[in-house]
Amino acid sequence: MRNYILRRIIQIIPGLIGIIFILFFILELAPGTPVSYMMHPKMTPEQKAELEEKLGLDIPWYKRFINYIKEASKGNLGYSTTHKKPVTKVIGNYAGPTLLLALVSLTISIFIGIPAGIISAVKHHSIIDNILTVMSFIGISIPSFFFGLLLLKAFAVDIQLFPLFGLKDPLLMSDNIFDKIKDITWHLVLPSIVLGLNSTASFMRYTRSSMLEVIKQDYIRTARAKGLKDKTIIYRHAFRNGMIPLITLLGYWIPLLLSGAIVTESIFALPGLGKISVEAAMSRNYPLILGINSMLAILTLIGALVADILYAVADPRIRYD
Amino acid sequence: MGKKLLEVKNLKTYFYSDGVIIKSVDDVSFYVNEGETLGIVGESGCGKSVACMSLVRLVETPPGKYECGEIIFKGEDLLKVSDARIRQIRGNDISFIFQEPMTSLNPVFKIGRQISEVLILHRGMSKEEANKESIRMLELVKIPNPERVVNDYPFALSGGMRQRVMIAMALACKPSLLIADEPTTNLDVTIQAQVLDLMNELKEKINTSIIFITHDLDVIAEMSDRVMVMYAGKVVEEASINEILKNPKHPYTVGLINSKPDMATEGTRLNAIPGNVPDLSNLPPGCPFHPRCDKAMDICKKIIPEEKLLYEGRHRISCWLYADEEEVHE
Amino acid sequence: MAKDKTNNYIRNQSYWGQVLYRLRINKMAMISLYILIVIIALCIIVPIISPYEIQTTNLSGKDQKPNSRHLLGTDLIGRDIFTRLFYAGRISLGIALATVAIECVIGVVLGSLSGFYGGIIDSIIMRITEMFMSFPFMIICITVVAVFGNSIPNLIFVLAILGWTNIARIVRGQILILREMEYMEACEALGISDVRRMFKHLLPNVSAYVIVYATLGMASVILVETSLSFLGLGVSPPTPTWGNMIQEARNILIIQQKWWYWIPPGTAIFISVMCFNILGDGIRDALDPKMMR
Repeated sequence: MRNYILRRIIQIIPGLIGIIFILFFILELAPGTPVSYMMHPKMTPEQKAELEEKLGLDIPWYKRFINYIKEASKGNLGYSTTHKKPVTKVIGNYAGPTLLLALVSLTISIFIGIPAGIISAVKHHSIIDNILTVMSFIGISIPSFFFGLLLLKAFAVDIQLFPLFGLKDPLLMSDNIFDKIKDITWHLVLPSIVLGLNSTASFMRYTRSSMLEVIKQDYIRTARAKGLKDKTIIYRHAFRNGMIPLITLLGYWIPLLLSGAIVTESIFALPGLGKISVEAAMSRNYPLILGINSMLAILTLIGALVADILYAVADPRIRYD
Repeated sequence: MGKKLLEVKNLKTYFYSDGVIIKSVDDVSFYVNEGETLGIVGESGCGKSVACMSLVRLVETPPGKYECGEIIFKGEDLLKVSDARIRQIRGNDISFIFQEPMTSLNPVFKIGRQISEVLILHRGMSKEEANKESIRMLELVKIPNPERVVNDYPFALSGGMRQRVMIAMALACKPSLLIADEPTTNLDVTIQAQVLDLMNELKEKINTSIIFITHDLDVIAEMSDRVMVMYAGKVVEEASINEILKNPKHPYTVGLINSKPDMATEGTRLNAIPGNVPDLSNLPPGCPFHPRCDKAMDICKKIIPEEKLLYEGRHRISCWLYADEEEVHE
Repeated sequence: MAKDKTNNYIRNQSYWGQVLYRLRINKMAMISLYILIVIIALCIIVPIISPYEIQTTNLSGKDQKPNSRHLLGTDLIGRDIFTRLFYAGRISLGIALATVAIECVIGVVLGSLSGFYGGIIDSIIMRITEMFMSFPFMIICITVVAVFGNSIPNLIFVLAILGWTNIARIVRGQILILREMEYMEACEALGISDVRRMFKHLLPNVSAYVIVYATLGMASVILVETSLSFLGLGVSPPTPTWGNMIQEARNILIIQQKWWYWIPPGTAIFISVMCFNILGDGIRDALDPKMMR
């Protein structure tokens, strides 16, 4: 097992380098350079060259790529000129709200989506199942920005229950830690619902079909023939088998949540990674684009690894060596 | 012969799916005496498994439905008792061994836990007691290293070993009736013989009745005292094993016996029964067997034959060929 | 007796006949199909039924609530929202259709090669697929659109390049299952050539699953494309799309007081995505009655 994990961690590295390579390639293919965006109309060619040199754009892209990998392995992802800070610092500053939002949404999805999926599967073809199925279709189909705007209108504009946007109330004077937590929580309610809705619906659908599959299995018949209660059969015998495919899903879900966070942050004007990645793309802040992408790629690959490990823990038939 | 342990009267179990009615068990009656082994033979899809699953209401409802009938077990009608009561009987008084040893054990639980579960549930044992008893049961079904096997997962065992585990689990609570649904069909021939021997041996030890379902007449001959032949959801013939093998009456039973390889004379072709298993949702009128029967008469195509008891009740038959023979009630 | 009839009817149909029959009795899927047909039809005939031009501004009649002359009202510069909505539908649905078509081509070609030849070709293609799957989808989209420009062909290209992996995987999986079946071995024994085998026998079976994933793909492409538009990175105004119609309404006053600016395009996206999802699910169930959920 330990060897397997080690091997997988080592396998992550070429994948990561591949992703960064493709990004360099895309950025190189793009018409124009960042300088053309920063350029002042009255800038002389000399000044332009100087700026290019300063940004390291005067050397060929593959050399920059090799340098980038070298520096990245030491933990240096470059310097963001817009923020006047190293990229790692910028990401660190903005990662908090995004991760918090993703974590809260994931928790909501797990604790609502999975039980709802189980109920739906157990009461197959009943009214409850039909209602939950329709709701799950709504959940996977409603665009998050539209749902977000609807919630904003209903709960922040019309009845003004929740704050409109941002993460903190700028007028909050209290230094009390509880007041601060309450303030942030209050600001996160609507964004978490928006980001969590899609995952909740998806988890429900996956849980339902997985449980329906398991309930048909022979060992469930055995469990019934033993005289066990339906509850015991579902929550003990079927549940563990039904959750195995979901574990894999969970690993791949992290990057999807982070992608979803971009739109959600934009609706609610949260100062997170989504906001700076849109800004970075618009202003062609190459180091920041590369940094955010690498970080997300690492998270994706780690998520897949964790899923595989959990899979082995949950399913005794799988043994890695 | 001992007392009647179980008596099934006019059981009908139908399935309703996509607007189609499937009469899997259609007016079936039979009984099992204490300490006796009843064999049920028939092609796949003849309703023998559904009939036995119905005994403890294991058929999923819906799509299944128990239309009518009585299942008298130790003085109770199992079709009428509460859900809680039927759960007390399942796995305790009446237990099952299924056909698919590879998939009938839960893959994510250890063997010991799966056996202990019945003991904790029905015998109220503590975990430690149940674990000890599980080891003892594994020993009884002749699994080597039972202390180690209780901590194994099912995937570590072969098909034959898993079926032994199933037997241990089924017998753990010393049931008065064991229902074995084709328990050896998916096993190798040598393993098959071992498992059958084991079942015969344990039957004596635990003194349980067995209902043995199979499509294999050789296995029935080795295992059972009495045989019931089913076709298309109905009982077509029933008698003691010797009587059936020596004096088969129903053309279907005759066909089954003749299609066994060792019954055919050397050099001749095997006498397979012509035609296919009928579609239970779309049965022909009259006797369901008539399209495949070489002795079919006009009446067979129109009216379903009634059950008759011949030879002082020792032989039950449902066929127009014997309509004129004298009926003797028990 | 009626029940017997349906039963026999199903049995007497060909494979596709059975699939269609099972789809036809799925009410939710059929309603979705009809709604989609209506939406697409409206998008096509909007120039005929609408008395307004897409860009006609009418400052005297601006900012009207829905009324008998403007079914969905007018916007800040007096353009008819109903007309714009279905012109926008042409762009949004058109982009989705083109994207899914390209995804199908890439996915089917790579998936078939991978499943059919196996070995080294399979592992190379599968590694590439995995790499594409671990791309942070949204951010790459944003990056590419930002640096290459947000023309419609660029959008289609980016979405297709990042989205073919599902189809490739399902095609490969189906081919692996079908390859194990006996009739392929029979073909091999009869000496039918690789290419003929691939096209004559496998693709009809695989195509059923491609249809399912293409339908579901329509739903997800519409969602991603409109999200990009909403972020201001999709098709740029004045060309209307469902996404940028909402984006233009991102103003707290509009959200609060002028619901007819943003609720219609939002609903249009929601309804079409939902219909594609339900229809795709319905086709999948119809293909495999055992999986009937």
